[in-house]
Amino acid sequence: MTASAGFAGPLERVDETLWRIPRRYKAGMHVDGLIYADDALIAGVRDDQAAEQVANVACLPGIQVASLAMPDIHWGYGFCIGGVCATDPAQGGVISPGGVGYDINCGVRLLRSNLSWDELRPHLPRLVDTLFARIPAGVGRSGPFQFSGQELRRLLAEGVPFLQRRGLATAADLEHTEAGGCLAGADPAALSARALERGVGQCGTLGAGNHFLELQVVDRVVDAAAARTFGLREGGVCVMIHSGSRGLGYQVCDDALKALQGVPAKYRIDLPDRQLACAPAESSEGAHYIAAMRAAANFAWCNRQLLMWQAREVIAEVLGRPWETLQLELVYDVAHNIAKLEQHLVEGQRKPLWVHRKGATRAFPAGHPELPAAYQACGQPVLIPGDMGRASWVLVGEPGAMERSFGTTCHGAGRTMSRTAAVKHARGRRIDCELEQAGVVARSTSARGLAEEQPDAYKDVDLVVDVVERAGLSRRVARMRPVGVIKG
Amino acid sequence: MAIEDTLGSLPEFVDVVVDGDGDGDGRTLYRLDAWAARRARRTPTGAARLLLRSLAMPYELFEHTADLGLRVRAPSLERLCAEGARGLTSVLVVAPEAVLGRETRCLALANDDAAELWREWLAELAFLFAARGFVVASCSVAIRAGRLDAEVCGESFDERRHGRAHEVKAVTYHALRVVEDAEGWLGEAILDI
Repeated sequence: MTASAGFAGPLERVDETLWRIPRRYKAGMHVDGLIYADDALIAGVRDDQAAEQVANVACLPGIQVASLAMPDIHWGYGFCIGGVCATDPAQGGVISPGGVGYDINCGVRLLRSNLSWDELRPHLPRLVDTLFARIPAGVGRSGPFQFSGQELRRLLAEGVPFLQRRGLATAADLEHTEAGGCLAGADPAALSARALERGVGQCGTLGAGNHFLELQVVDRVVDAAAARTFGLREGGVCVMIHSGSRGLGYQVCDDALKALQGVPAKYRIDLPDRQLACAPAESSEGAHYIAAMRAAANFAWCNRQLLMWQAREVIAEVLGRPWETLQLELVYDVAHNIAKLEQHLVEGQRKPLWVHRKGATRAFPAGHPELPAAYQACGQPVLIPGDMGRASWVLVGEPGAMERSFGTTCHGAGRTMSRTAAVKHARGRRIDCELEQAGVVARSTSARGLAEEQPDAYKDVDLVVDVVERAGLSRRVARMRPVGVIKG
Repeated sequence: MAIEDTLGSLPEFVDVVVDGDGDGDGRTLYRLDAWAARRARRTPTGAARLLLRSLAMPYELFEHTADLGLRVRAPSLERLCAEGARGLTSVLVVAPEAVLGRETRCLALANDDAAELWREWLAELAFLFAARGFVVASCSVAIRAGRLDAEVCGESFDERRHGRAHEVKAVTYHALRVVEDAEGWLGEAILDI
């Protein structure tokens, strides 16, 4: 399988935003593959092997309803990016590290403020420079928060509540973080010494690649009532943070992929692609990965919490007012690389399923018991980062997501250009200067990194968001325009 | 230019000068070892310049949607791993040529599958960089019966001299490939960035 090979299998139109790979396409498929896309996006889906991966995932034991993919689908490792797969442990359903990804609990959080763009504008260059100087970003950087081995183990087991006890998180922060910033059942003892070594010193660091911290302005409010509930108003200043579990999570995934290599054969699971390495969720091997994955997820929530804490301190310092006065409150924090045991309705029966979301965001609607009180009547905020030149979006979960996609929607724009192609495309240009001319102050530890992440390298996130809204998975609340970016 | 005319004997290293490569001075020097020179002799004249360039740099990076691919050609599995280490360094830092061999570390790995061994080797070096800040300049590798023993020369990462390039999250199993053919060994790995 090469990057240049396209998908030649069947893609049958179901409706204007949904395409089916029928179960008959490949021996071993237990369910259909379903891809959310419009006519424009489906053309791109044929360009690589992501759709084949959707069909492969349909072969996993215990999979329910369909192997799903969101409109920001692209080729990944085993599972495609944008993939959603729910398995029933009572039917031998599996847990798969490939269905979560290397960056366990990579996700996004959004802070709002009472600052307007006009108030921020004179401070913007100094604020971006100070954020860049103070918040560790880039390859292998360590942060100001140092935890001993014992403290790190507690952080992994207890998640953000551990930070709250140290005065680094508020009760409201926990309330507005998916799962309260802690998955129960996390076991630090399930992590290798290498994973712990990679994690020490990295909690509270941004990392590199597509991770970022952005100052954003609410550009356009589409749903006034939901925006009010989330505390968003046109022209208001927000901070969006995109990061994950850093080296610790990467190592947990790497260890698991290695450990699970012989496991499918042991349980007589026939896989079309060895990268779908998995284990029955209720086996000892499955339980071990779940315990380690949950610990890495807790680490990621703590990482984003500490990034936010540093951002609050810097903004307060530059603006000369306490962050509480600036009302720098967390709107929400949501994961887009994770597997969770959730209750879902399948053929009229409510049952616990292992929902894998790999580059896909939870999007629970109003009334879901896992939502904080403030969002019960409205639905869960869904945070969709776009690119650093155009926009990101805040959406809200819709009932259609529970009916059609196990409470899930898209996670971002998706790349259209490889990293090498993006660097070639940037030759002779200064991406930071171009962004500045477009009104975005960008700072990166690497000029190459900025070239690789330039806006042209990504699809227009507006198109992706339009599809998930038309499909009834989530609806648009507010479009966010970047004004300041720090990247690794 | 006729390569056959340029490459006479096969000493340890052969310097080849190619005209007309468009770099302004009309001349480019390629230093090939004996194995590379043998490959060059079998190549049609028209492809000479591109081939020489690729032989002078045994590793290359290739495109993958969101990540980077590392491809290495070498006369032996040992050389494949050694050149793979150089290739990985070129992904991790901006100036791999500035990395000095101030310190030597010994590594040992075992896997009967050549592709798995190649992946584990690269993953080991990526871990050394990510967790311990050690960046590789060169290495010597011995492989016998699935066991790899290596002496790795390098130094502590120095941001000012080396520059940060990419964070390699992992060396993946995706499209992982090690093959031996008439021209030697080919290794490929996709690096999750």
